[in-house]
Amino acid sequence: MSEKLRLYKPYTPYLYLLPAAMILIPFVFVALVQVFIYSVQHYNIFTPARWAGASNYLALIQDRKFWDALQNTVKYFLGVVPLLVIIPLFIAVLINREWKGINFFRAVFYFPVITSMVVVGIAWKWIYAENGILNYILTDFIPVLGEPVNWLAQGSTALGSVMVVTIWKGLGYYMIIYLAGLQSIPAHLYEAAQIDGAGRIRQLLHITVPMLLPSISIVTIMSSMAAMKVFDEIYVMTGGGPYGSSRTLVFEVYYNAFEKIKIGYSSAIAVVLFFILLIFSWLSLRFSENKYEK
Amino acid sequence: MKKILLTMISLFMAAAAVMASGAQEESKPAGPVEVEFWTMQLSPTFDDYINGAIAAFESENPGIKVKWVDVPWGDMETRILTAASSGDMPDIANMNPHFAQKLAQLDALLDMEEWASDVKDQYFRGSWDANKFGGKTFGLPWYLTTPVLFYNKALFEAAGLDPENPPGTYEEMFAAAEKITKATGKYGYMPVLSNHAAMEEMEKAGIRLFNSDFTKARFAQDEVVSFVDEYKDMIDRKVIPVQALNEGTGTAIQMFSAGEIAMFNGGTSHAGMIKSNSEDIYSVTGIGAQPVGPGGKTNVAVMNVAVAASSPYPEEAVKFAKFITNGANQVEFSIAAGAIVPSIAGAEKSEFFTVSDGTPVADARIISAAQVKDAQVIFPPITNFSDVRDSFLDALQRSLLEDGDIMSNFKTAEAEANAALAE
Amino acid sequence: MKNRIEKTILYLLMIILAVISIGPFSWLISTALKGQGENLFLYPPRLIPEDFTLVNFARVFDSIPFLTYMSNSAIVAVFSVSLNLLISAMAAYPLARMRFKGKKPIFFAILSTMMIPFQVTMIPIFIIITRLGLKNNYLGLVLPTAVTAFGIFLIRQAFLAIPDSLEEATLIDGGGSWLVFTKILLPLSKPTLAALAIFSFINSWGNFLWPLLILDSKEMFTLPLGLQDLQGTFTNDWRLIASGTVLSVIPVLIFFLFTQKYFVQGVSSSGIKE
Repeated sequence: MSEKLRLYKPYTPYLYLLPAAMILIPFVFVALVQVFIYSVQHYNIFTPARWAGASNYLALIQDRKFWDALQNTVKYFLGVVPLLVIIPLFIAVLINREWKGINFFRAVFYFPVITSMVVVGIAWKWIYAENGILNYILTDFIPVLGEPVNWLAQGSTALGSVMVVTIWKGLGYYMIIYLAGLQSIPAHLYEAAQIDGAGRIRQLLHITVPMLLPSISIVTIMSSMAAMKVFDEIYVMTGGGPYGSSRTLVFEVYYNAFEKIKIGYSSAIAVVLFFILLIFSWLSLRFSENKYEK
Repeated sequence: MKKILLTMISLFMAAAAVMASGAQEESKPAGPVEVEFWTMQLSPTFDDYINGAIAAFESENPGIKVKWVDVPWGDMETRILTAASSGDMPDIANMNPHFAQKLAQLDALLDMEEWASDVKDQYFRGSWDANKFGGKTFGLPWYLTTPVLFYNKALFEAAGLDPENPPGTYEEMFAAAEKITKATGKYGYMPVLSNHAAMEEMEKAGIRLFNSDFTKARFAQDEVVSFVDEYKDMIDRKVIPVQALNEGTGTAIQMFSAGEIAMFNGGTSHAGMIKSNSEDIYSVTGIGAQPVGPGGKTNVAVMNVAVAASSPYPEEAVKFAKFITNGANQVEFSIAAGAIVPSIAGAEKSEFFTVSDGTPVADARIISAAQVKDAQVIFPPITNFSDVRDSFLDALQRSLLEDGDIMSNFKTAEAEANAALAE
Repeated sequence: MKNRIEKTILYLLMIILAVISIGPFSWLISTALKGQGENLFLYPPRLIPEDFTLVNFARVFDSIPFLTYMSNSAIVAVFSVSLNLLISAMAAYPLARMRFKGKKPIFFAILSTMMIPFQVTMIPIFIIITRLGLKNNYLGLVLPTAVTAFGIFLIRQAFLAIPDSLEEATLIDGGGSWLVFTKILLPLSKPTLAALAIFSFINSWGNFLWPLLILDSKEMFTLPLGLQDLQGTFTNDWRLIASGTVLSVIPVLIFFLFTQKYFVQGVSSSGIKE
């Protein structure tokens, strides 16, 4: 490693970083600084901004809607991430074989990932409707429910119903990452295990899962980020309702900015969210980078 | 080798510069004054009408050019706010009064009492007043719709009701709804309780949710509690679908098209949507006048045309706003749309709004036009309306969906609403 | 025999999963294929059209300039994908293969941008784009997402996995860094680049909010914006909306089918295994 290092001129690294910097600095860092500035102002777009000090943040602490949204974001995280880490793993194991038609199945499983949220929203609203297919299946076909449930209209089911959509839409994405990980596990490990008489389940637990740990950590990080940033699904499917029971932090950011025209307050929520994510990413980065350095 | 890299970067920057300069040329015209006019989802259906009107205006006013931008229905607010954040608000825009009120509260719109007092008397009083806030009027009325009652004649018949005689009052409507649900198992009636329509529903029922000048909320009343109890009971007995709580009129139309609900109050344009969803249901659709509640009010929804206070050409912009909302243009537009009523007195007397061919589409238009002169906006623009509404809906939905204490829900909401109103 | 049963069970499992994956779209597809007189909102739902027709697809082309919107989307997607590949790869190179001052903070700063939801910075970004005069312009559409932290991260992992020897040999022979970049790193990371291409393609193709904010002229609309025109203010024909939606997904599906082989290898060689 040391030999090669002297072969690059000192300014070379920065030259290669320049184009990315030209994009990231204005469109991410400057924008972010602006959000920080808004968060200490009273700003409503049409009248000049006024200094607010910490008052947006103080208002935040007393706002039950903020705490509800934070709680919902945590619920979302806890509800979505474990399933998105585990289910795609099994799907990947299932389709990691050279059978006839396997490419077709892979494409089909990937289909939800590539469809836009607007389309997905239309499709799933029809499924969840009181006269929709889910109620039809659960009342007439396999009668587990006495009567149809209006999934998106009940405070107790709305958030969970949207979570299902997030999981459904994410399965294919994480499946591909696992699939790639699986293909890199040397076949001789399984052969050796078979000779030792290890069954399928023991092979899965003792070879597949340990060898896939790096993929599992990537999927964990990526699905956690996605869960904590969730917005589109909520916006399209419930609009945050009923009675705010499905509002998340990003939804609150958007709602305060564009429905209430309180940019300062909205930015304060954004800043809080940013720090939560930053701490989380710092922890996960340390965790995953340690793996790479090994 | 660095050269290649540097060349690439400079090429990239050059490309950026070229494309950027192209854009600037477009936005800074020389010569005539250009005003920007934003509409909500009128293109491509009404391209001919709007472009024609703009051409007529431009030939009458050679010094003014109008640039038309059409924005999707649901995204107007986001687009206007974002555009305004960079100082690029459209000069003239089509908005609903509740959104326009938010802008008016921030002094972002011109006062029409001052700028358009000469045309004030043309419009229906009720529609002009729909844009009044804090002593100012922030927009010119454009098109209207007064809700009419859509009912399913087949379900009426199945329940032994007269399909040619729709209920005229809320009392009759609920009686019919109960009968239909009992006889057919279908929902009798679907109100919309997911947005400000829920507050209108209560006002129609005779409950005054605010004091007379709308500066104080009065949600915590026994009448409110008994209203909620009644609706809760009807939801439990499937007279009203629970979707009423979280879905808008769009779902009401779909469920009506499915034959799942017998009655709902909808806009004139919904007749055409039902036809497109289901010919079967359209053929048994009846239209009645908006049922009158104990409150005695007939509701109207108004679309307006507002002019930005930040417009560099306010005179030209107001001139166009007056032009597009004048009598001749409104009639022409209403006929092109076939589903709206002009906000100009006299226009509703034209044959298009008085003679029906017997189809639900025509009936809806005619009944709606007949209601227009006595109709009023139940809620005039209110300070911080979205906060007030959210607090109210929160309490309403909690009360209808959960078993908690209804009065205490509305007490909380009332306190929140009063804080927002006092701001 | 045992194998046979197992195979059947696994295939059945895959079929069930396939139904779950595309089942939700069945209403959309069946609505697109239903004739004018058919009730769209029956209960129980009827998925097989009684009055099967393809005419709704033709009506989409009559109602909106579908091909124009699609080619706009394609132009934007190609532009966006190439910028993403080039800029991400360039930034990934020093982060993976060179040692320099500020490397760790720079890398962390880049990664931390992965955490910012677009809704948070939308207004400031819009103001910046307006100041640059890039409104109603494809450059303004593409630039804010011309590189993403995710892209840099993905390619960095691929570059990390490439052995030192090839790079050192080139450098010692007097070849510059650009030669290493174009002749060694890029060719050896083709699959990862393909993967990033698909991710960027999907993002660009489905993007609605940002084009909505910055595009004024209909002639420049991308598909998601253009499809909105199928829904009028006073009319609402679900057959048209469904057909337009189905048509808009087809190009992405084709793109995926062509690249999925690369794609699978791509993620695996991006170094998550190491």
